Amino acid sequence: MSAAARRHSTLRRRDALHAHSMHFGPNMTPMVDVVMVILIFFMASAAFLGSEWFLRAAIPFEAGRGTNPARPNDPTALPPIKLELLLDIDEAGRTVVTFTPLVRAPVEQFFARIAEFKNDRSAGDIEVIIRPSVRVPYADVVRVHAACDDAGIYKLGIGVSRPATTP
Amino acid sequence: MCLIIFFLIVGKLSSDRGLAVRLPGAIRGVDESSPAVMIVTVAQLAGAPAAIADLSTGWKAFGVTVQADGEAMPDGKALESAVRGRLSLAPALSIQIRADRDLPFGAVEPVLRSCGQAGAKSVRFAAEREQGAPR
Repeated sequence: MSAAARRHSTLRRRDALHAHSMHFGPNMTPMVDVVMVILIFFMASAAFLGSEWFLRAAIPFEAGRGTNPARPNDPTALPPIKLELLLDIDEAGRTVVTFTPLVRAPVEQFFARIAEFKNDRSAGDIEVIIRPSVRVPYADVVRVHAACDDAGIYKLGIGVSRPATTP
Repeated sequence: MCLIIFFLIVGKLSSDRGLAVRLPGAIRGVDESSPAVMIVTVAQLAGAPAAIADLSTGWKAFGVTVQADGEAMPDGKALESAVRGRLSLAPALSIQIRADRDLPFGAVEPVLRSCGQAGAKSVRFAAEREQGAPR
């Protein structure tokens, strides 16, 4: 490189305006900004919505629902099979389940029992009312509910007593 | 502009969902599909273990605080009237119960009772997908 060319390269303008004037093509900066915002939005949405789902539970009539006790009644329909699932706490503070034929059995034993319904096509016709006592952890109520749902028992209700302690 | 919209949406989402609670896990569930949703949040009061109250005049006796669509409910009657009002506008309303996993059922039961007395036929318990659960 000649001395003149070297001097020319060292004295070259390096400010932003010069760099901008030398730039050809679309400006990527706003596009990257917007794409980043959209990306963060979708990540936040996924964190909000993606990791949860819902378990539907009917509120049985004895909870005092509504004012009209009339219920749909088909005289030709077979009466539904209604089963009660009682949840309680034992002396050690563990949740126990009473569900035919189990009597105050640990929750794990109940999971094995309810899994037998998976191959039973009539499981969809069974109505199960879950009746937890007040000291049962709410998390166990949801686990038991989900296990019933997983076994194909969709007609699930949650037993709500009607004492005079409503706050 | 995008940032404003972003913060508006996230702010609306967070206010609707009310207090942050740790949801219980579930191996099975369904996604929400109802167009009308009411979110009822049951959270444990800070520093107060949830108690099973015999007689009380508010949620505090149960050691919980309750919000409906981000609005604090002082007692069961207020929640009942809020649910009844929403049900009259949208009979197919889906009521989502977002309760803390550490609560006893006795702290959630009065909320269910208020919903039932307001005319709700069913509720939906919000739960976290457990590891290995089908998508």
